[in-house]
Amino acid sequence: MANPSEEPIVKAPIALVTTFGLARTPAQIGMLNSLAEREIPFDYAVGTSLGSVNAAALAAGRGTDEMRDFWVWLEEAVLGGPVRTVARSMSARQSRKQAEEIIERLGEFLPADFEDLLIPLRLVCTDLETGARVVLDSGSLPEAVMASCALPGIFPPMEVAGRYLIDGGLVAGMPLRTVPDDTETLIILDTGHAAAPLNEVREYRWWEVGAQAYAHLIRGQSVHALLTAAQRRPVVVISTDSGGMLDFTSAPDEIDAGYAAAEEVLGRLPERLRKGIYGLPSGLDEFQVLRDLDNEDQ
Amino acid sequence: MDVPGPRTPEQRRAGDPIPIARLLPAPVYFVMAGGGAHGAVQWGALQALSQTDLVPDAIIGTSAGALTGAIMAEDLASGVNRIAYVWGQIGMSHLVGEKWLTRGLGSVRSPGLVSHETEVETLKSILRTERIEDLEVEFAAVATDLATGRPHVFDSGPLIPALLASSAIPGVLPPVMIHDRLYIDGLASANLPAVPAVERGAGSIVVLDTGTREVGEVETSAAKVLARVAVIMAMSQRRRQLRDAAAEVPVLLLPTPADLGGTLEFGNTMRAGAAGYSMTRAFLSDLACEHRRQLGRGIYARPDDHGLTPDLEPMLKAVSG
Repeated sequence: MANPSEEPIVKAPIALVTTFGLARTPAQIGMLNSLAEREIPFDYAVGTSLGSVNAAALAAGRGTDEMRDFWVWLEEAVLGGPVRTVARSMSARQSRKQAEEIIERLGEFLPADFEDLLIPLRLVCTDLETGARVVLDSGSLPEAVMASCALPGIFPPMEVAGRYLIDGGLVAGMPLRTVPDDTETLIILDTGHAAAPLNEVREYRWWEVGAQAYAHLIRGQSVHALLTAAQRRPVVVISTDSGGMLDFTSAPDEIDAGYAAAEEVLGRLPERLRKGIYGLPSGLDEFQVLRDLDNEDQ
Repeated sequence: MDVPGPRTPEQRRAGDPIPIARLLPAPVYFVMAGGGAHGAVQWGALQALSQTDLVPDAIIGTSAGALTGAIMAEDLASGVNRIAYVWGQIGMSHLVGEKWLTRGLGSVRSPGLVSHETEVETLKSILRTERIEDLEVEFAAVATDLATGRPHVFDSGPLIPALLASSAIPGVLPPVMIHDRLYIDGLASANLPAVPAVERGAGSIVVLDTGTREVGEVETSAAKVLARVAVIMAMSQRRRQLRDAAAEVPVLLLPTPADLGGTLEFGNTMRAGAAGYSMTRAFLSDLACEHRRQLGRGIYARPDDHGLTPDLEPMLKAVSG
């Protein structure tokens, strides 16, 4: 085996994909930390829903400390008070104002335009009118990120190029069809596992039941996308299901959990990757296609 | 009153019943999609199907489709008439009681806006069979496990709890506890349960859909966006179910009218039923004319079904008439 560094050979071009994940999305920052320590470079970034924030930050070359600061601000300023946030969203003017605040902060954090990014970035949105998947890869970056994570009922739809766009998670919780065709290796930062412990679910209130149903709908699509993608190329899935999907107060904890999850998967990658899934995406254990990492070294 | 009209002279001359049984490999599954008030379309579709030589070997349904399917499965011969009777009268008040929204919003901490009480009474007044396995035709209702998000198929045990679980609209009706697990509406995992039908061994599938729901104009208020979101997700999930099932068996996708209003608007059930009848009847006649031998895998549908996106085209077998 001609790999003196003993590091796995990950074949380029490598695409990074960030998924849907509500309050669990900051875990992707910890995963990026672990990837950065191993000096795994990325050639493309693809994001959906709140994961678009992290995909855009990576494509802009932002450090994980800056990402953490942004998330802490977002949770404190906007998402941390669900009752306040939802109440605001009921007023068109208030919800517009809230979105403008976020776009302004995104403008300080990210470049103004897709052209200024270090690697190509694609962000997925949903067309509110037709339900079609819309991919944004040019134009104003802060507005595109806001459109891709315009959670329905919380943020207003964003008008981009004459279309009303909302959360891309609705059509693609794991946007694997949006990855450039020549991608050789996919690395997925998966925070969209919707399952929750039964004892927690028992305490749910009516609006939490609704949110859980929404998360399940999105996850069902992700499973299909994942199995299809793994038939063509190696897919590394770093997955965490720690913390609640609706607890928007725990970004630092999520980041630590994401780092631990990434270390677990990346530390066990075989030397050469082949077609299939590497990692154990939460909730998919029933699928026999999953490869056992330990049996991969043949 | 807007009711299905008598058959045209041409339809009568064509002779009854329409021969389609020979086209479909056994066992034939009727797959009944969920869709709230749009479920009335299925009443019309069932009436048109009853004028063919096809008898379902099993019925599987989600949400409203499970309720209609259970009535059919209880007694095939009287099923269509009883379903017409139910759809002719049913309204939101039969499921959640009066003034449910204003009454429910005050209770922020409860697991649903309203309780199942009203729905239980309604179901008891319609269905006489207590256990699923005692129904005349093999039947299954699909619900979603609230904790794991996986579809769960109820194919035995008490009928009414299974129907409650299958139709527990998330956020409105509370989750239903069965054998220590919590279940919500099947719409969250398989609103059109074609794949569960294949997994149960279906040889062919007849999909009784509830419409694909276009919108004329987009509204951007929070409530309208949320309502639209539910439709977008259901359409996306519908494509996936159809694609995966049609890769294994022939799937007849019965046509549905495009604009049926909101899924909780029960004012249009007569019109929906009438449209469902005439569209299905014409579709089945065309199918019987265009095909002589047993059908192979694929989606047999009207070519203008706008819920079928380009990625499904390779498996589409157009029934164009």
